[in-house]
Amino acid sequence: MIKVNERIGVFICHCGLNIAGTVNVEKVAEEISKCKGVVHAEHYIFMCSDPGQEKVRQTIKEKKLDGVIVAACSPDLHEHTFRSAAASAGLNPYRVEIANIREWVAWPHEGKGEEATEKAIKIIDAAIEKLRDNMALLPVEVPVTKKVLVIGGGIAGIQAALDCADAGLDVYLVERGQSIGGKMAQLSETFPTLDCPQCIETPKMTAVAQHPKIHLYAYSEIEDVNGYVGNFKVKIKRKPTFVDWDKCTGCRECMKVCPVKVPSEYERGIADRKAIYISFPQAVPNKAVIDAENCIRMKYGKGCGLCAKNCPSKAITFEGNGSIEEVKVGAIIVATGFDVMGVNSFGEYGYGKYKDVLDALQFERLLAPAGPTSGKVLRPSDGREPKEVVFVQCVGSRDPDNWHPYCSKICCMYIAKQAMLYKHAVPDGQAYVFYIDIRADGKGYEEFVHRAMTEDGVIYLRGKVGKIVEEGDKLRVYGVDTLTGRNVVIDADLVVLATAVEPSKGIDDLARKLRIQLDQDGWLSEAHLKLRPLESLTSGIFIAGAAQYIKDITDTVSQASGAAAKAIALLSRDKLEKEPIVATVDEEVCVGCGNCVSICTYNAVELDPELKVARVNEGLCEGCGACAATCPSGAIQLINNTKKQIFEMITALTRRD
Amino acid sequence: MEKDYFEPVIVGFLCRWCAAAAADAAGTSRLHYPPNIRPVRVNCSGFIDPVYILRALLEGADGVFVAGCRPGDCHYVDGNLKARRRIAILKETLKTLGLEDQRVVFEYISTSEGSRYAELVKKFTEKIRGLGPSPLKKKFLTV
Amino acid sequence: MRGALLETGEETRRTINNFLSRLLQEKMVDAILAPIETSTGLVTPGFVTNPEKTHIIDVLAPVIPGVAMATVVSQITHEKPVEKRLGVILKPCDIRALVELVKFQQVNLENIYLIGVDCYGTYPVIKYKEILEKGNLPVENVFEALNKGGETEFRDSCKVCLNPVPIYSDLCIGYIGIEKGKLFIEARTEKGEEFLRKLGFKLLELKERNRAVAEILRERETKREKYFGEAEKELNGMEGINSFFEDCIACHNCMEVCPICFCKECFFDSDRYSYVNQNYLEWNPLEGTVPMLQAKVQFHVGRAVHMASSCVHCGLCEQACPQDIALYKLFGLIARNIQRIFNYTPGRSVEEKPPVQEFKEEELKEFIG
Ligand SMILES: Cc1cc2nc3c(=O)[nH]c(=O)nc-3n(C[C@H](O)[C@H](O)[C@H](O)COP(=O)(O)OP(=O)(O)OC[C@H]3O[C@@H](n4cnc5c(N)ncnc54)[C@H](O)[C@@H]3O)c2cc1C
Ligand code: SF4
Ligand code: SF4
Ligand code: SF4
Ligand code: SF4
Ligand code: SF4
Repeated sequence: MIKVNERIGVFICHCGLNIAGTVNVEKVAEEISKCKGVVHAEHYIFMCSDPGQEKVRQTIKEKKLDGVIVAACSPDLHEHTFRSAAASAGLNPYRVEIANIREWVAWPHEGKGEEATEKAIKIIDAAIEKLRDNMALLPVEVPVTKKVLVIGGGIAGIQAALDCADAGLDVYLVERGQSIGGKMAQLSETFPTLDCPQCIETPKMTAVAQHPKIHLYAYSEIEDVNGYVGNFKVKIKRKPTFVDWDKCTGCRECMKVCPVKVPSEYERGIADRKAIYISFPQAVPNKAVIDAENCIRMKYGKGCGLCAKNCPSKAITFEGNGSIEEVKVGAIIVATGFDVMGVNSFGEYGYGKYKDVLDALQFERLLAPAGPTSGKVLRPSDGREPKEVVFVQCVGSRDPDNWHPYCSKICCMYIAKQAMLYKHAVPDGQAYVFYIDIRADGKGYEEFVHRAMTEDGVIYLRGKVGKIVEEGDKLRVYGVDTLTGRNVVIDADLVVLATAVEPSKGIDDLARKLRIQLDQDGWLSEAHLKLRPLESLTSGIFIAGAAQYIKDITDTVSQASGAAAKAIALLSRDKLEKEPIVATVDEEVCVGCGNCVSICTYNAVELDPELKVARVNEGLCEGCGACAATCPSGAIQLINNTKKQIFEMITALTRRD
Repeated sequence: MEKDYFEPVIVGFLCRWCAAAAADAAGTSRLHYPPNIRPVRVNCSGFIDPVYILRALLEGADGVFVAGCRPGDCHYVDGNLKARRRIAILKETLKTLGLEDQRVVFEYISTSEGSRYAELVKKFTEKIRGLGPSPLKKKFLTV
Repeated sequence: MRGALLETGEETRRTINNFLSRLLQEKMVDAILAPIETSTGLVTPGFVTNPEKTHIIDVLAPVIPGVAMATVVSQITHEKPVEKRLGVILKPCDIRALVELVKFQQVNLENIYLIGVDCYGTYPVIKYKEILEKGNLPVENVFEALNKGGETEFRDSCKVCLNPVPIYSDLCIGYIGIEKGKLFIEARTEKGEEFLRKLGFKLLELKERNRAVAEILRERETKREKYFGEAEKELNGMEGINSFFEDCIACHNCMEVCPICFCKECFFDSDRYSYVNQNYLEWNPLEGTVPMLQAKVQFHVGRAVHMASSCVHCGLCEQACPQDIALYKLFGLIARNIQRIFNYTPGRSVEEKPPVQEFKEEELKEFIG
């Protein structure tokens, strides 16, 4: 659309002979100077050089240009250069357009001067048509709250929280369990170095508790998330503990007298805890919670109350509904970890039916020096020391027909570790491992597995286990050794299943609240698997640890520090600048059909419930324009890429002469 | 002035993250292809309203060349898959009306595929040359 | 499906209206939105709240003057749901349109009870009037046609319609596959059953009905293939399109009545679009005549691109055209082809997303390259 009093300047670059050797730049300048609204057209040998840029600045001032076209190389190379030049002369950068007549015209059409010249004119003409309707824009500036929310208090969340806090940011760390620590706190020793996880994790947990910048919300969950990058509003629900944490000193007197025994989550069911409990000795926070489902007093509203009587600090109230607190943060790190596949899924292995068939996490507890057996390996059924132990890998993993198509990745390594530790505990015992492949791809990993085989005499059998049946006090394991093709039957005292890992429960709900995506298996989706593995698709939300996909501690910690660095970098600025090329809605025209809402990948559009019109959240909009293409009435449009502008460009490009 | 031989007019819509960059790469490697294509650089193939393509055809384009990222590579995750749906609707409509839907193509071209861009443009230009002037335009020329 | 069999004798309309009166009397609904008779004998959408006044309702009138009932429901519920309980009488194509409009957030079904009616076919308004003028009852013609298996005077879209029985509703007033002198009121939902039980009807199942419907469908599938086959031949290429739209006066009535064209302001009427071809003169230096057809072609083809994936095959566009252009031939054909590639049947279910609102990872490979 031609407007009155337009003052457009067009600068055509020779790029030495790169453009001028093919395109007749004089002719282009001459033809373009005839276009309506063009008050200046010149050609110059190197537009991007200092004198070239100076020409642009000078002419803007002298001729009072309100728009500039630079016909030169790809906008990917110098759009920024010329926009900045224009800005320094007082012209809004979005009133500058680049016409690519080098990569798109001169170079591919060398030797075809006439056609190339004609094409260059068309392309510049189209750029002018677009420019006419370009609005002067300012980058969308969003203020930044210099605080971080970390969800999940496993080693990933702990590391990310510490890194952020050390960088001076306030951190809210939300853990749904009674204590932080995650799976790592349950492990016996860790591959490949065999150090004790408590020894290396506990100091970090304490650091979290003591760090002035970290606000720990244990026994809490995310209730609701609103806002966008730099400006999230998060509601955190503190679940009711029925104990006044300000008073509780963690003396554990209550736990001594509570008469109710419940299988302990921390011990993964192979030992009990009480109805009032602190998960484990090194728990952070070191505060008790009452499990209301099992506490007699809570269930019946009266009776028992032994714990309260025994509590020296009178901390136990049996009261409260928890509370909801709202915090503001600029970035979010999701580190919700994983679960180990649960009970009773594998009937053929007698899991959940036979007491001496354990999952690997249960076996970790049996091996743990501070575990229920003080690190002695004893059978749950009769407390005897098992002499023949069979480990089965890939239970539920790499099994697309029945369970999960993916590899659980850590099992090869922890099974080698467990077999090894078993041998250290029971030197005259024998360990067998059924495996499909051994994947030992970390630093020192291959050597670690090799050590299990050679030094500890663990027998590796390549093949699957068909079934396990109880025979007297033995477990008869029927397997095949695919290397020899023979059936193998082992009478074992104990069987350990490396069950598949899964994304942590409730992740789908959390992802919905955060408006981030999950992949088909339920792991958190990264923005780009290779290039942006620490970011979710929603800007300002980062992902860390096993929640993205199962990984060992080394990788978890690296990724957590990476995600923290991302968050720190983001929040190092006082204001965030976003491209102002976002969608806008003409509310007079919008009929509220919701096509745009459905199609937007970033959930950036919502229907106003009152007015029934679409509303764009500029903070979330990435400017892809998919909404504009699906809106029938043309109500939602991308700024500076309106239907009108595109139509005018098409007309210019198809014009004949 | 009207030429007495047929020189196809082709409008291109190229996603800036992939196809437009591939077109840059083709130029940088001095790969030659016919000059008939006149491209528009857009944010994403998912931005392309089928009405643009229709407009181009009615304004005198003999062919329309649309290109976006390969599935899985879209800068905006899945804009190219949204584009595919819309182009399918348009092409099916053109086909139903006997309006030579082969004059509209949608290609996946990744950033590095400069030579493929040149190749595809060359092939498409030849195809359109073979088809002759667009019927939407021809009608107006021969009434 | 269970329902109640009603004896009507010669009094089909009165029986239905009595039934509707009872819905009002028993306070199951507060109002009924239905086709009501006008002074000229045609029908128009109207509300009835007084149980004494249901006699002006003509549920079975085989004609759709003006817009679809779905469009009326959209007008009254788009801003906010109706506050009173409203029973709405809908033909099968109305219901399909209504379901589509729900997906496009144009209809809110809160407090609305859907009372579908069988529809073997409708007449063009002019034909309907003609029948009346001859002193006949159009609905009797329909019953007769149903008996002898076909009616050549129906609107084209009706002749090839594959949904003579509503896909979805709370209640359905059925006559197809029911012996003469009777009507079957089918309960399709729990709400529907509750209505019938409260009114004291005995509920039974009628299997023959399905057989009769299947019979009609078999015959119509063939007709439909033939109809669209011919359309494909006629509309082939610019020549065909040109002569098809030559006389179009660009009144855009076809868009106005289309239930799927629900926009506040049509894009093709708006200044976001305003189209004057700027190149046309340059195109035609030899011939000396240039028909300004592009705007029309762009409107119609553009409109098809917008709505064809959800077109409910009501044929109202065709009926609204002052120039008697056989529009269903064009839009119905495009719609059938597009709906086929997405395996999408408009109005089939509120759960299904319309093709313009989603995409799949693995699909449409044949449209690449
Ligand atoms: C049997 C076994 C043995 C292993 N042995 C080793 C080994 O020897 N060496 C090694 O390197 N690795 C080992 N691993 C792997 C190691 O456990 C993981 O790498 C590590 O635990 C990943 O840490 P994370 O913080 O990502 O997840 P997690 O440890 O799972 O922590 C996630 C935390 O987030 C919390 N959470 C989850 N959802 C929410 C929510 N919605 N809101 C709030 N909080 C939430 C959870 O309660 C948990 O505290 C082993 C794993 C298993 C199963
Ligand atoms: S697609 Fe267009 S009309 Fe529909 S809600 Fe979005 S902006 Fe409004
Ligand atoms: S431009 Fe893209 S990101 Fe922005 S609202 Fe539209 S669809 Fe969403
Ligand atoms: S109703 Fe008929 S005359 Fe009017 S615009 Fe539609 S096709 Fe043309
Ligand atoms: S295009 Fe015609 S047949 Fe299709 S829904 Fe609209 S009015 Fe009915
Ligand atoms: S043709 Fe398109 S823009 Fe116009 S009313 Fe129909 S759907 Fe809306």
